[in-house]
Amino acid sequence: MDRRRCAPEALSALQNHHEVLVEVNPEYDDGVLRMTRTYAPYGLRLEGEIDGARHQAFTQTLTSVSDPRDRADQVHLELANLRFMDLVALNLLGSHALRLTRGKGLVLDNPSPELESVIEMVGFHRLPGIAKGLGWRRS
Amino acid sequence: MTAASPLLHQALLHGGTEEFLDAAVPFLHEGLATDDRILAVLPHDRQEALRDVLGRDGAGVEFHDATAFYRHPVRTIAAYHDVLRLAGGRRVRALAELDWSRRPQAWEHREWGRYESLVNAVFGHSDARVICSYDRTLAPPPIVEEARRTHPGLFDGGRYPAYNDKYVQPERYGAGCDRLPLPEVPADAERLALASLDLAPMRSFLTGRALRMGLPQDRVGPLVMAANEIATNAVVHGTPPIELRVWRHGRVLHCEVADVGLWHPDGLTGFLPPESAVSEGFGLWSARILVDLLEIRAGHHGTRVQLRMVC
Repeated sequence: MDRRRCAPEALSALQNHHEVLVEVNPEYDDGVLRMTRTYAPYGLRLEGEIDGARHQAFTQTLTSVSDPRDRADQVHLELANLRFMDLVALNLLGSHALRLTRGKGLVLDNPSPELESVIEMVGFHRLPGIAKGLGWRRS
Repeated sequence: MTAASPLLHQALLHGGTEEFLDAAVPFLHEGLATDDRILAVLPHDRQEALRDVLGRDGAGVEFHDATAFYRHPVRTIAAYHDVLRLAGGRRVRALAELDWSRRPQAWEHREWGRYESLVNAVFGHSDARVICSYDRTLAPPPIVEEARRTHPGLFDGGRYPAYNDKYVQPERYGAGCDRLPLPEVPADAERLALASLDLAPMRSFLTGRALRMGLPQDRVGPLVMAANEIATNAVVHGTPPIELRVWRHGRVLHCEVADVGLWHPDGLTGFLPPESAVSEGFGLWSARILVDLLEIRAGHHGTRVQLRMVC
């Protein structure tokens, strides 16, 4: 079934009553970067690597996910399988999160130790509108 | 003649503890009287001497160990930048002396000179009060002489500031540092041509070579991140052929990206802490803080950006 046509409440009801094979079609997949919408929590799962060849796709996908007309939730980025994010993408996150901040912003979940370390060195205060979600080693 | 900046940045050239205290103690008392945020970043024995003299007043001074604070010039600038940012309206007063017993290498001398010069550029508009202390009996003479070029004000063996006509403006000073030659690329360096924005092959190449050459695992990520930024810039703005080179010399791993394009970075490019990730220069500044040293040489031959990591 097409998960995107299913309202989240109905989907979680289905999950409670059935074994659901969670095979959501990704928004983008070029063999190096895969981006997939998530619904619980709401946002995007990033897998693989983001570099110059993928900045445009990243910005577009992030924009489409971050413009939730009827959503009050924060937008989560699941990063557990993101092996690499370049500094320009980090910069993009910074600018994107700023625009999103009508109080909400982006929540980063499960960054790799390398990414967390880079964000620490660069200074978390230089990425306003980004919040630490799950899986950070340092709060 | 440039307008006087509100920043007070003075070098104290002294011959030992007594002379040091003669200048340091009144400086700190001044700050205590006006409730400044006071940092004393000093080697251990200077801290002890100061604590002895200050007594209970020492509680108003934040002592930091010089070795820990001064590991990396660009990061140190960012740390001081944070201190100023978080000072909450109080004036910041700093008394600092590097620990010269560690015997730094020539390139470290140069980069610490650059750091001192950068203080004038980064903090020129703040009303901070900074004294950088140099012990003539411990610090190498070229370093002590360099202090004259990087500090507008000078205490030279007295309690009152001396005239200093050797001061050089930060941008010119930085440009001077960048004229010294880069380590040459050895014939047996590993090389990879770069032509596309898809730099996954480059990252994989650099990761493998760096590990094989003995770079500790937890240092590979920052190196690859910094190299990726430089490589992206070269592919976007540079002129082919563009090549990445990796080699190890002694304890140092070198990684260089070279192209034949022209770039005109000024003496301050990528040294000034950006306000945020959306500021211009964020990428290059981030690359500088991720590695041990990032050097740029740009001229009619093309552009070389060389990163160093101590293994």
